[in-house]
Amino acid sequence: MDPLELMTAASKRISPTFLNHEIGSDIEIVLYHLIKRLREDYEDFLIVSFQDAYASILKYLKSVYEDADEVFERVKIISVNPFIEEELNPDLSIKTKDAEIIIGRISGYLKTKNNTLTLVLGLDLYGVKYPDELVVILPALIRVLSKGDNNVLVTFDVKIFSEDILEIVNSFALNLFKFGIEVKENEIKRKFTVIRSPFLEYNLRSWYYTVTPTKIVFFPVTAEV
Amino acid sequence: MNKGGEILVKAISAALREVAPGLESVLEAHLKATLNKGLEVAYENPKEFKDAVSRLFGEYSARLLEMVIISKLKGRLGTEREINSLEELVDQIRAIYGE
Repeated sequence: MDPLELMTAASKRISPTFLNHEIGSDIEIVLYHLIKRLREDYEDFLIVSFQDAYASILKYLKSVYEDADEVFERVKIISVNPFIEEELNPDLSIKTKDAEIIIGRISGYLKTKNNTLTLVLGLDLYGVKYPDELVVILPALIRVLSKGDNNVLVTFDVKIFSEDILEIVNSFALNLFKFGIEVKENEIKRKFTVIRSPFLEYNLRSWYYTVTPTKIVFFPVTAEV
Repeated sequence: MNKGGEILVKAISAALREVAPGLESVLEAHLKATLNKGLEVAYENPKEFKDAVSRLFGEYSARLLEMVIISKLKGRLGTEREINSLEELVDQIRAIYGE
């Protein structure tokens, strides 16, 4: 399996899946390819977006891919603390920093949703703005979203928070994939690592990757990029 | 560079060192190549800076960096006002320093 196949298969088997990333790792592009592969397999597609994260990602993807609107069409949007995201007419808009209120509103909206592909974006943005709320909202959010055969994908920047916070965040991930970068003389090398997945033979394996207009190309770490 | 600009540039450098170690020089090289300017463009024209960052790192990373910069400076500015964007942050700094 190549890494995209691996992430697709792993997320279908167990959930939630955390995509840990850092600035420069082109996580938007990864999401685009992953969602494209996954969404047909689910009845509904839901995005829980904190602090305009989805609007940011969609804007970028639309500038890169002609079919970005198609890939994200008919998505249901829960927008937490939208600033510019109101333009996307979210199905539920929540404006508070209070983690318990946010979870209560999301839970009420979802009720017993099943067979849903759910993408959680911007938890890191929310955590930067309201650091005390992050550790409260995360377990509750995972509990509310991870019901039945739902597939939950969560993106999270790993460089912003302390090791303590990261350990808490990562402890909720059944699949854990890391998208990092290595910088050498103004050149960025992107690196993907499988930290945890049900495919044990792949765990702790790494690939460098580059983004082309049509696909992501992965190279085993031993190969020169 | 005026006082407000200096404060913002320092905050951006600190934010980059913290959340994107190694990328400060990459960003500076990109700003130099595309705008013929340095980090000070963030104070002169925050939108232009954000656009340049998103072209280099992607829109989400640009938003993330923006939030970290805001969180680094907000406490120092002593304002209770909600700041949601770099543009609003620069407005606040300008108002405080009368620039």
